[in-house]
Amino acid sequence: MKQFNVFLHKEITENLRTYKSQILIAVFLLLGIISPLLAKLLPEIIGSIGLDGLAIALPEPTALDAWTQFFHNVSQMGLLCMVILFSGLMANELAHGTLINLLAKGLSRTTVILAKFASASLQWTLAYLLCLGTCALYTAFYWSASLHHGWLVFGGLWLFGELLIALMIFGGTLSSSFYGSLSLCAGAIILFTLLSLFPDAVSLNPLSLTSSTQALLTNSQSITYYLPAYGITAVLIASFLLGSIWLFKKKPL
Amino acid sequence: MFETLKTYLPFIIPLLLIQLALMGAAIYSILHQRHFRTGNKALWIAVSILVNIIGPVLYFTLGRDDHAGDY
Repeated sequence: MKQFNVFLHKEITENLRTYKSQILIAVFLLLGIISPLLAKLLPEIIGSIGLDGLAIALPEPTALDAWTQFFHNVSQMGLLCMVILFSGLMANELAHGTLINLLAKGLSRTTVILAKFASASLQWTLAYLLCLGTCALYTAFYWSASLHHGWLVFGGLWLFGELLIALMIFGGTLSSSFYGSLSLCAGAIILFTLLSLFPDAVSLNPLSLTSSTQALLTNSQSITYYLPAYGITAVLIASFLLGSIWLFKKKPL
Repeated sequence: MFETLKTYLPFIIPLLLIQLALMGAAIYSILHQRHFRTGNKALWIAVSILVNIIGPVLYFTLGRDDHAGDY
């Protein structure tokens, strides 16, 4: 446990010194501000295009629009940014050989993987909560907010982010390069997107965690329908972490 | 005009603060950096000042050499 704490501390210090945490926080704070702003501005933007003689009836923006924008931005820009920032999580150290000394002095390889996952999760959770809080504040200020399924809707996107972190650690351990991490993530998302072509598999697809939010917010689908996807994502996270530990133990440095 | 501006002031002020903080941090870091992963000092200063928000983020992810002290 002491090894874990020390290595976690080292990871967090590294991310602070390389400005990765600060950038992540800034980007997510930005997304939290921009989402309600876009929802508020969208009717004016469309109105200003000025289609001659064509009257478009635009409804007043609501809290739902703000949350739609939130999920749209965070699941694309936000996750992309997180993936780029964390893609060197395993790869940088494996490529530079900075772990050799620590491992030779008796640091367990399981600890390395788990502490890296913990530090990335911690930063992702913090950034996500900050983004969520900012968006919630603005939404409550401009509209009277009431949400279907309450805060449970937000858990899906968070869990999907955790899955991407686990995938990046697995890809980095496998290939020792950050291109490996990135391509494994991209490959997984392409696979999930292909899977979503089959309507029967929607409730099982991890990608539903990010794409189902609209249906959940408008209450057109119940959360129990998507529960298998939550379960499968959790199992995938655990298996990718166990896989990384197993791979890392076999890997010569 | 001022009325419209006033409606969006709660959005504009935090956005401006984030932009200034990012730009300041990027320029501070660029001036103290000798080696860059890609590009050079002048390029990154120009990008950080001219491209709002995305410029500094690009510098920290692509331009900054995290291992500059190692060699």
